[in-house]
Amino acid sequence: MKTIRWPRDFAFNCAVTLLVIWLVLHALGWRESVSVLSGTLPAGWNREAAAGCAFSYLLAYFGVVLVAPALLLSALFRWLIVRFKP
Amino acid sequence: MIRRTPVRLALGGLALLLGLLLWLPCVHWVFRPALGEVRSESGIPLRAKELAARQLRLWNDPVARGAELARMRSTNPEWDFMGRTFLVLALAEMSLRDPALQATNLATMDFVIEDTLRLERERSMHTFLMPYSRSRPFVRQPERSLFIDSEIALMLGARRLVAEKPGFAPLMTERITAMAERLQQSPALAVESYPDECWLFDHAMALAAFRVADVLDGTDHRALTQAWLANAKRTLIHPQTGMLVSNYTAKGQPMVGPEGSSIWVAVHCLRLVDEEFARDQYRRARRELGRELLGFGWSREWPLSWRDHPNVDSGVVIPVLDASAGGSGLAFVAASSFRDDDFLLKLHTSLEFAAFPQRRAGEMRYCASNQVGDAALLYSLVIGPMWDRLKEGRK
Repeated sequence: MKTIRWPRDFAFNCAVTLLVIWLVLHALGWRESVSVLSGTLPAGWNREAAAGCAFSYLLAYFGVVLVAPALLLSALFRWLIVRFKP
Repeated sequence: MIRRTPVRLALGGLALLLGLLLWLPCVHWVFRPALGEVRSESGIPLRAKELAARQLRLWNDPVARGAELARMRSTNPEWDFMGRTFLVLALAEMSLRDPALQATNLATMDFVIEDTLRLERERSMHTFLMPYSRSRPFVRQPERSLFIDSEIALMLGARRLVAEKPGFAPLMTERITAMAERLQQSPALAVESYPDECWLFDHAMALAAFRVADVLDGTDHRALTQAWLANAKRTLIHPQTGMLVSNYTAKGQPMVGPEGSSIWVAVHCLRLVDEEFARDQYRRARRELGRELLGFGWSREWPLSWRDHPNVDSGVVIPVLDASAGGSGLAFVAASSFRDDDFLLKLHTSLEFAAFPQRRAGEMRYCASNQVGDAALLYSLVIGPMWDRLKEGRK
């Protein structure tokens, strides 16, 4: 049976790391904290905690949505270059 | 190995750059809704049904409602009040679109209106105003706020347009009469919402309420409306942009320039009394405040020619993009009202991307929003039949 090897590409691993960080924050329920963007605190949060969690969550989310796909594409390009270089 | 590292880094950087160049222009396609999901000439878009379901549950669950309103009131009591107005207007539009919803919607509209009137009666109008409403006396005594009167009149009118309710007509007439008298008695045709502070938003709401009264009760506020419009075109236009300014003193002296949090709803209301002027103001607002990038759309709070500090009306302003939460939220109302589908879709794309929609058990809310934000969005999704009737003068 052929084993599937985890790619050693740095960009690929960064993309996966971003996804894992976001999934953890999402599972922790930090998505609720982004209501601070509307000037409204989520129920049961204090202002400082909500602002900190919202900032972290937004960073992780935009990392997943904007950066991770670009990292995956770059990993693909690098693989293609290495694979097909003369 | 040492010699190869810079090559690898350059290659990695180039690959990442290429990845970004390919991906970023495509991101909006992931979030862009179909036009039918956000605007419909008939029927009710699914998104509106889901937003309405959550709003109706809030208003029928005292505990959830109390918690939600308290969260908003701790920042700005106005949001509690405006959330009621947008919800009542939205439910009226939905009832006209789908008569099967009338019974449920009318019951909630009545509850919202009666609860609002009760709170005003028991705690005074200041309960819906920011604390500085008590900081000094109103110029015109006895004190009244056009913010409160115009939106209550509009709520009562919207309810009566769907179906007449005994007892609401005199309540509406009382507000309409009070607003009209104060406008007529002011040399600058300016009525305060806060002490020596008059707002375009509230005057536009008042003109819309006059229109509703004229259609429902056969009154005639056309001369007063035309006088206000003529005066506004003469004295309230910001020279650099040609847009109406946001607020001014009781003597009609502009205090600030145009703002997204005022102009978008104002132009929607002004459509009822001067379509051509309203459309011209919308075009200017779109040019000066509307922004687009890579398929996303948003609104600035201020044009380039003047700016203020971020405040409770502008909401959070995202640096670099200059995207204002308050201005962008209300831009949905104007874009929908003027059937500007291109901008509306771009606004909704941004909303899906960055407002974190949450759907559960047939209900929907935006995590980055609050009750008033969701109510304004709901209203923007169903704008149509009521405003069309009012424009045509049909009950």
